[in-house]
Amino acid sequence: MSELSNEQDAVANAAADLDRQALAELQDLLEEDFVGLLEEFIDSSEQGAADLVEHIELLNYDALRRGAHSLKGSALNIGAPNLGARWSALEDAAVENATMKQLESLLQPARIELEQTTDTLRKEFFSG
Amino acid sequence: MVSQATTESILIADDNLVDRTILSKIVRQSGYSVVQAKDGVEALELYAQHSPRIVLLDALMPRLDGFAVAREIKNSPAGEFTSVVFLTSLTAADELASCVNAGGDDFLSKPYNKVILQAKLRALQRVQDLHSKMQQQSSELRKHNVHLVQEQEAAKAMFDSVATRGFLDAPYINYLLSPLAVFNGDVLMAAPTPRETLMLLLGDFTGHGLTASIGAMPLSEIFYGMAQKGFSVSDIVHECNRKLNSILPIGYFCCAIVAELDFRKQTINYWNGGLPPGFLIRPGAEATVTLEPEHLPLGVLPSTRISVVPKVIEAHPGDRLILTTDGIIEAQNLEGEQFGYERFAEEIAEPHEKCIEHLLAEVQEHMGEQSRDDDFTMAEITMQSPETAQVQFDSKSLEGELGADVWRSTYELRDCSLKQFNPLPMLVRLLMHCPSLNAHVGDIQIVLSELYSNALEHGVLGLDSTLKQSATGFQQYYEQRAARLESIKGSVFFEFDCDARQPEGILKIRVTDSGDGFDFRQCGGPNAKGNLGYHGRGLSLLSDLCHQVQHEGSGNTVSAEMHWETGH
Repeated sequence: MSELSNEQDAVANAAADLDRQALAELQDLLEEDFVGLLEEFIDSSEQGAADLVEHIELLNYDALRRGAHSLKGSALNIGAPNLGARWSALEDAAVENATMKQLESLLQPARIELEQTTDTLRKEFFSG
Repeated sequence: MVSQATTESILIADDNLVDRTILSKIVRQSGYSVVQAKDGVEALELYAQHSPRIVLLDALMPRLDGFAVAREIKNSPAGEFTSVVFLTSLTAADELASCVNAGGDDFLSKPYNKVILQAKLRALQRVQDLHSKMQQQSSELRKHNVHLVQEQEAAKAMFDSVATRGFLDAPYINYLLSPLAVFNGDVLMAAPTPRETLMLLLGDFTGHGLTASIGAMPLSEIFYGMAQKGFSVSDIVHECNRKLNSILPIGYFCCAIVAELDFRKQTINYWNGGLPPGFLIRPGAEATVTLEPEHLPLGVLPSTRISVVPKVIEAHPGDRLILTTDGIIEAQNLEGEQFGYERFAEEIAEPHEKCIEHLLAEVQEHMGEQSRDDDFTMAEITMQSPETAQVQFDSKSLEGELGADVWRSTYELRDCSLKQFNPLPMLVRLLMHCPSLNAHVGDIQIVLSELYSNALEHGVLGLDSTLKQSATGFQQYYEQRAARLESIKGSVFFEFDCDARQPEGILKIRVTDSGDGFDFRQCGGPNAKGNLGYHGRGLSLLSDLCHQVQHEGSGNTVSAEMHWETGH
């Protein structure tokens, strides 16, 4: 898990790798609702991620799976495929009843990716 | 298609607000209105309220997952078809399989792609349109079917009233006619004639369905109308053929046997056009006679080309006449093997109290599981003596214009008309113009018919009646008769003198033929009622019915005098 520390180091400055074209299409589609949707995405993802911590502590695999599944879906839809992949890995681990340690080691990078994504989105699309 | 006349609504059920918002936006842009649910329970509630025809369902949702919702929607009894699309990023094969098992019609994976989604919606809409078109058509089909069944029931009621009518209730007639005869076009009719004979017709129209039975209406009218007026087998066949030939489309016809059972003369006159051979089964050692089909079915040939000359066979009391259409003979078992004519012949040959029931049971056993009796028609008539036959003719049906009590008339039939035309029905109607004679129409028919056949057969044709005393001679006699009729020359002259003014009416009938006559004075002395000692001339029967019967002139004139109570 040497990658993990590298990524942790990179958190502060690295911009998330987003699907620009998808974002542009979304903006096109949603027009004035676009920013609201991004806010909703950020809020629900942060809340969802916080819930996952709890599910892992209780080893509630079903809730974990559903939570990760939902987070994965919206990440993919918003144009954040890397974040989607992180949540997907966690969902799969929940289906396979992985150990708490394994789950925690997957949650950590996902939360970092989420943080980077929200930062990037805020910087780029939230004016003022 | 329930409430939204202009915009169809689509139900989107997803617990994730972000995904739901994006999807809703795309769906709205595609021209639908959107109903959103955030979990499975809400989805079902909204489904019940809005009856959307397309439902987009997230597989994993709180409270009730997408699979359960899909199953519920697919099982709902509403006639409308609902398309269910699973919104999923599930990729494992078994998870996709659960979507299909739950009734999913399609998948849509995240991230949503506007182009793909719109293509899918169009495809689903086409399915919806097809389905509602189909629903509409099947509801129309149902309506048509109801209508058709009603028409068929009405047709069946009419058909039944003509297909089996008249004299079929006589105790010596057993018959089987399918309750679905209207659909296979089988008809069986029986009518007493004024000669106190029984006229029968068994017919089988080609094809199935209403077309097969429609010809039964005119056939029945002709048959009953002519039989009761005393027309012969030939006349009836001729007219039925003419009518069916003119009304039935090409390729439609009626296989039929027309038979006249004469209980007094102990003969059967028959004409078989295309039906399986009938049987005359004689108890004891005598051989069974078959009534072979020697003619084309009714309705095939034009009047000018059809042969209507009937065959004559002897039939004594206790002989059984069995007629059938091809349904029983062609009944197949599971191996496609037919019941067959030979087996039919064997089964009916055995004397059996309930011949038809016995045969039907045999046929059903032969057919095994695929047994159906909707195409089985047969009739069994046991020959009677004149006393037990009780062919009573309702003379009321012949009442014409009333009032001619005193009159004279002559009528002469010549040459080829003797072959082509049967004058008796017309002459009987003439006589019926005397009201008090109506009650005696049966006797008059018999007397006229005897006098005429005597004049024609022994007089004009010169046939020897002693021939008829042996079975082979009997056949020979009728063969000679047919042959000589072909080139007939001569005449039969009728004279009638009727006076019904007194309490005792007097009808004198003189029939003179152009034949050579014979020396009746040499043939035994006169009996109590006249000079008819010569039984071979077949006129002894007349003695019973007439006040006086005698030969005159050179033996080619017979005069008969009938007396009756006029009620005056």
